[in-house]
Amino acid sequence: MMKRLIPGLILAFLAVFVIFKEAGVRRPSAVVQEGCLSCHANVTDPDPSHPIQAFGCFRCHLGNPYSYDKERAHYGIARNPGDLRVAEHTCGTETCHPQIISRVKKGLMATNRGILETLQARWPSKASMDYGVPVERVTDLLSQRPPSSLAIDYYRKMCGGCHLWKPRKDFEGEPGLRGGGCSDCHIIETELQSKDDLNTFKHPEITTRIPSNNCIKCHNRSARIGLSYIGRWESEGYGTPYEGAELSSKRLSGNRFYLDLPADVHFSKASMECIDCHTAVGLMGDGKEYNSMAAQVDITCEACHMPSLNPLGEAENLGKRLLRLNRRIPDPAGEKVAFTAKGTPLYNLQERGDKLIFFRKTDGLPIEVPKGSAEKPHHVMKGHSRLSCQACHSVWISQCYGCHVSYDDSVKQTDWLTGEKTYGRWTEARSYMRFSKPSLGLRAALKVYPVTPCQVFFKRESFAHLTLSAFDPHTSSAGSRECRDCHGDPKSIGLGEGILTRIDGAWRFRASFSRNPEETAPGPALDSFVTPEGKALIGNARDGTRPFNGKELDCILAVNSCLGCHKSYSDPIYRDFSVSIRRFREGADLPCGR
Amino acid sequence: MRPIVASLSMGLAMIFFLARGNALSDQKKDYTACAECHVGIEKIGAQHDVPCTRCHIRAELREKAIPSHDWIVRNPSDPSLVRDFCLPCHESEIESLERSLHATAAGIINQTRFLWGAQKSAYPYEYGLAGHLKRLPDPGAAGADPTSPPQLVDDFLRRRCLRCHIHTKGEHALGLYRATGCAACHVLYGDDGLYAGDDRAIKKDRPGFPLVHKFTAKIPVNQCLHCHNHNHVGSDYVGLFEKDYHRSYRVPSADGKTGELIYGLDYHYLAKDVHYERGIWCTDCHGKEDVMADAKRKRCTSCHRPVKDAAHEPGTAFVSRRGKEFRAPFFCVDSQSHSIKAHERVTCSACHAQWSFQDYGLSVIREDILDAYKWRDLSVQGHPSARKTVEENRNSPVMVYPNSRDWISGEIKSGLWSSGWRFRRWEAMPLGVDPEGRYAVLRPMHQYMISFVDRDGIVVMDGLVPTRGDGSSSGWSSLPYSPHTIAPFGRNCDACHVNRTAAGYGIYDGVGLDTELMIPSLPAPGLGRLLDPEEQKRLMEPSWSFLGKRLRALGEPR
Repeated sequence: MMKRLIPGLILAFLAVFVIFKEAGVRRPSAVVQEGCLSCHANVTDPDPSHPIQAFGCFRCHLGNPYSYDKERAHYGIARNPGDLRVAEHTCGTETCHPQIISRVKKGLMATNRGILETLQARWPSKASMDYGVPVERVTDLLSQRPPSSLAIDYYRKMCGGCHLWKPRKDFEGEPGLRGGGCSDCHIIETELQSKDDLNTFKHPEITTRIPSNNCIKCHNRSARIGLSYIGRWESEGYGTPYEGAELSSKRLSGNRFYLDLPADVHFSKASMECIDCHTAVGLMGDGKEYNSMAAQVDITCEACHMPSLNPLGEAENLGKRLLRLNRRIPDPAGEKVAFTAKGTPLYNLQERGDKLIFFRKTDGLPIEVPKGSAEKPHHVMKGHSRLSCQACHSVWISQCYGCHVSYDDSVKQTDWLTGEKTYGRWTEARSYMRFSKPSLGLRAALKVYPVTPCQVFFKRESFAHLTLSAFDPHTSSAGSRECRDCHGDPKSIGLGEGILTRIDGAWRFRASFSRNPEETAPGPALDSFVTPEGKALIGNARDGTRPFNGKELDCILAVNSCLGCHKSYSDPIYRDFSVSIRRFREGADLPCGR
Repeated sequence: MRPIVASLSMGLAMIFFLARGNALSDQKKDYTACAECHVGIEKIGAQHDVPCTRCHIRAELREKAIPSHDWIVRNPSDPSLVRDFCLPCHESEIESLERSLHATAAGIINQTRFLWGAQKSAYPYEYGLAGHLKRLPDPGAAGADPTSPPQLVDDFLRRRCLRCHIHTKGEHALGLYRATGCAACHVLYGDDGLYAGDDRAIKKDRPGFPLVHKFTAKIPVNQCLHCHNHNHVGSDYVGLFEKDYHRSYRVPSADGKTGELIYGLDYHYLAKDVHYERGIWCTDCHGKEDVMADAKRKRCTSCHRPVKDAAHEPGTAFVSRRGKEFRAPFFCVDSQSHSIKAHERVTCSACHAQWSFQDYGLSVIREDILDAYKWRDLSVQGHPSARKTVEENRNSPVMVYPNSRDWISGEIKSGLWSSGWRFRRWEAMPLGVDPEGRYAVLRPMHQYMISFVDRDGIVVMDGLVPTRGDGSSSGWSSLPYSPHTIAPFGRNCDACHVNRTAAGYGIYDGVGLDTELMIPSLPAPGLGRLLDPEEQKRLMEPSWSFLGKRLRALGEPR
């Protein structure tokens, strides 16, 4: 008797609960009546936040919702509401996402300011060009007619295919997936099966859980960090090993191929997506207009690994709002969360007791972040105070030596901004590529960072612009490079590949890479950024990034002798190395060398 | 008046022309009088002061009138003729040469056949192109429908590797012009293959002729490079390293055009061997017994002799083939690095080589039906005629049946070989052990993946890794060798000690990475071995005694 009663009671209880709960949910009082739905009868919701039943179509797609005539109904329609040209009237209306659109428009992904500024400032013949006012943003070019200058022509044909103003699907393949304003990132593309499917089709999914593929479709050239993060390196293009009668299927867009290298530990160990680290503020901007990626990006390694933790205060709207939007992240319930240097709450990095827990944004999976790295001897070591995390923890970096740009004004090439082919074709050739042993230098003359060469040779105006670029290679590993990787390897310290050895008490260096006699004026080997004496051979980056100077090289190499035995960071000789090395040199009674 | 002058001069010109034509045709009838046409031709050399016919007309025809220029033997030293012409005077040289690697190419043939599983062992040599060895099998024009690497290897060797040997001329392109037989080395060719002498009968703008009509024993580096090019010892001596094949590595010159290829390729210019920088030729070290008889090979220590106090010794005096006087400094056995007991078993080049050829992952494919478009950016592979085939057909809307030359038989066969690498580097120098038990630099040679597509487009072999002929392991191998990239000073201790790449562990940990190719494979039998685990451990875990020596090698404490 009892046995039968208990399940019955439970069922009854559940039923009451469900009915009660359902009654409490507010449903739209009236179903939206839009003409659109008379034809597009069976369309799935783009996502739970934008239900078609409640919103209809007009709210996002504009057009004329009152007409049942196709032509009239479609008049003024926004096929892609995310397009920045219409976004103020669609996504960005007062009741929806009003502030974000103006932020995004000022962000680098929409302005390309960094690229445009560097190109124009560094183009040597700018004096001879009819510039007028330098172009600041992509939008300045959208209204302009080409040609304006060689630098801008280069931008239009080589760079202008990746920015938020670019319409979607204006080109075949990957380029067609790039652009589209908000949709560039927030849409998960679905292919329409056929024209008949327009009445019953799967609406492209809108998401804030942006899959990394949406990032990598653009971030796969230049610094190639999108590829590096997932352990792919654009190869020398052999297309090996062959598959059947075809070249390798490990392909990138533009008939390029990749090799498999160690992926970033955040990807290989925790399958973190790009957005797990990159905050909305870093990606969409904070309302200020920056001119370099480094300035706009919000996240740093330290924000998570040496976090500054605070409770989400009452005034902390953003953190609360983000939490509300992503239900997979548990409420910290009074516990502290981390904040970035810019003050953005990292709502998914929460202190739990004495543990630091990171919740993956896509699925809320908790991952424990090791704490206390700030106190570890290798992080507080004197002499290493200027080191970035990347200097030691980045395993490899995409390196392209010698970028030989040619311009042929008798051949046409597509202008990404207009989609038209105009005279003047740019081609790029490189001398060689590498990935291993990132060289180090001073990013913005401040922090020791991995650097990679950016060496442009342009024969037409016979200029060579040799500079270094410092960025996070996105190849982090839990372990670090070895001490002698920097304190003795000529390539790591910027001298280039070669033999670095000490003869008669002085360092001697013999470079392995010589120079192609045809390459511009006599100059250094492509991988030599600095001479052993400390004379910079390459540099003048916009942000002041430079190779080590003579004094720094001396200091770095001074440690080399001791590294054989004194391998630990906590070794007492490193407490004050200048004192230790003096004692050593002055012949104090030390066990060294016995 | 004018028309008369015009017709007169016209008539005169015609008479002149006819008269000249007559004179030419008259001359053609008697080819015995060589010097009448070949005015100004160089004497071949003091040792060969004989009538032209002695070398250029077969013995049985020598006393007769020569009715046709076709009777004339262009190169009497060609292997097919050398016994009739040169042998009577140079019997011992020719006999030994025919057994030497320069004539047999037995090293490359037997190693490759073994590694591809076509024969049970690589040594003793079984097949070769000359001497007492069995001749390399000819799979025939149709290729005899190969279904496995052992059935494909002879075709691969004939059409891809053996473009350089002294029996046939090989490709005609910048840097590759050369003769056959004795003349391959002893008659000098310019890179452009143009005649630069005074013989008025030889066209100066048609490539394929020697520089001058002279035999010489003073053979400069350039001459050796006509064969010893690509990423092989020879190129490294002068600092050449192949550029990647892809079109985007062809760096344009000032006019935006890409420069001319040499040896069928573009090259990086790396550090040259210090001996080359000083003006020493290949032939200064590699003497006659070495290159013509595989004997009496010189070593570094033949000149750089070990002494206690090198600074106060004059060094070995010698006069180079070019006539320059040199003093090769002795090397000090008491220096920090040379005095280490374990270093007695290290080759000089293991420390003194500046860079080496590290070409990882070689994919090769024979296609009997070709979609040339897919190779459009990869047509430059060091084989000018294959490049031509690809470039002529790259815009073809249909697949084509390509042909290529068998460099041994000279026959044109159906199918085209193409190849590519995973990646190529010059920095890494993993160590192994050479046949004499000395530690030496290893290079991959090679990490094959073999594909074959037949005429019907059927993929018969799809990236197969061959198995060695003795079934012991895969056909991938590394070769201990001496990079000819010698620097005046050695690399430092850390270049090998506690260096995972040098110890043979590759560059990164992780399974399935392309960088696993940097882990060396077992050398072919008889060619050396890998470091054993004990040796690897010794290299990676430094002893106290090593640490002390490392410090002293750095000149510490100062």
